Amino acid sequence: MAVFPSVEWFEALRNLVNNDPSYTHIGTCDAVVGIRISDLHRCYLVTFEVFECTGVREITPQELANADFWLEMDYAGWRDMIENIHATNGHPDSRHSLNTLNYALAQPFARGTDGLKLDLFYRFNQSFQHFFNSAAKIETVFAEKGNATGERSAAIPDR
Amino acid sequence: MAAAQQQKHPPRFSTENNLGLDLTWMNAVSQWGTRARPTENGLTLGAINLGVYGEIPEVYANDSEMARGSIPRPGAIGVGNPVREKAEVWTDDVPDLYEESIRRRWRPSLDIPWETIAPLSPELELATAQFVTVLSENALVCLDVIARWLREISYGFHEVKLLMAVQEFEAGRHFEAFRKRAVVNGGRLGFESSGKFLRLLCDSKTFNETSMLLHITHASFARTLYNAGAKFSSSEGDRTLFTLCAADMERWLAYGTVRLRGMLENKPDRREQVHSYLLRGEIALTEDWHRDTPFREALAVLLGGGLAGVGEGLKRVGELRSRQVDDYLEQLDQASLPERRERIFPGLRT
Repeated sequence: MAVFPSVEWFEALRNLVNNDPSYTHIGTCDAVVGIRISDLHRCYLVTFEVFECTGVREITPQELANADFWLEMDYAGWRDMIENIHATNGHPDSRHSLNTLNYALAQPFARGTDGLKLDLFYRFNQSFQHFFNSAAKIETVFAEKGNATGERSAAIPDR
Repeated sequence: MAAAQQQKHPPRFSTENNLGLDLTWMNAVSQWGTRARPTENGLTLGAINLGVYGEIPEVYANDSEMARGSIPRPGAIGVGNPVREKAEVWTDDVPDLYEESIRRRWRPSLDIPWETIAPLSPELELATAQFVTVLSENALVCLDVIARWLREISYGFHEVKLLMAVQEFEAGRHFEAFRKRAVVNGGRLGFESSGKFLRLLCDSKTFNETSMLLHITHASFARTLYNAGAKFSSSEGDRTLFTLCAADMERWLAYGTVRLRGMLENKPDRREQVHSYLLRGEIALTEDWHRDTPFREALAVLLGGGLAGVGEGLKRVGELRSRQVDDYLEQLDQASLPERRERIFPGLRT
């Protein structure tokens, strides 16, 4: 059981993909990916190297500049995506894949300051999708007051 | 690049013998003691570019089949590869892009969950089939275009040859996968494409022109289209197909964009020529867009969710076209051609 968002939650995904031969089968992936839950002001940095996810840590919004690109949605959006991954047993429907979210949201889901580095989102898309799809294998606890309307959780303090 | 781990001179051997052996080849001066070490990615192309083997010449003077770093043989016959300048073909990340392409290869037969593609209404299946028929045809022509240039690139740039060989395979894979999609769900192959841009691509005369049209114009428009395909797909199988193809296109773009940027830095006098090539591509794409009614209307049916929504679909087709153009211009920004925004063929957006 892990709370989203937290380092523990991303660590759980990291451990899952690092022991998952089907993740390795996709191919090598080298990228430093930022995660931003915009309305909660929470940010994480997830590092992918070769066949592994090698690191997860919480960062400040300013440190997103250290990422090759970052994925940004509000809490409701992240929760909706993760709940769909759970509901579909790791096979998100057409409205909840990373690729689709990038096209469907009013603001881009994948963002960055360097266009070539931002393109890594597409180059390694299958690996990132597999990473998040692994959420189907863990029990995710969402903050008590956070809900699909985007209400901010009282359980998660601002940074 | 890894630090050189070699010495210049191999041990000297006596060539004296009573067997009539020459043995002078054993004393030819080259690089000796090279010990390439595997990186965390294995023994990569980049990892073996040690010492003189990693020195990429501005112009590859040898015109035989000798790969860079070998010892030239006097009297070797020239083969006349016309693409011999580093500025035309090289980027420092070519070895890594090659390794990435190899490691992220996929198999249309097994890596797409075809069984998840559920029956669609006849109009959506017809539209899907028309859509992928054109994509399949485009990929097959790209395969031919790449094949032609493999022979033309000098043996001094073997990494580029290898990368393009993989791109050729990727084009073949896209042809195969889209063709399979056309017939996997009760549909059929649709009408052939208008083909103006493809003909321009086939007729391109220089590697520079081909690479801009193939690795930037085509790859950018295709990438955006594939990502749109993933968005309107109703099955995991279709989404996987389009997402994997988009990822392959992204590597073509990475090569084409950095190559063009490097070439413009080294040959700033080519800037106007580059604009001429791009303009020709934009005009051809515009003609295709207007002439290819089946493709355009199929997209409208797909984006509208069926014939009943085709009016809304047409509006979304316009939005998709705008996105294609925006993504293309963004790519050219990255290639240090921001002025293309002002010079783009106006018809391309409509």
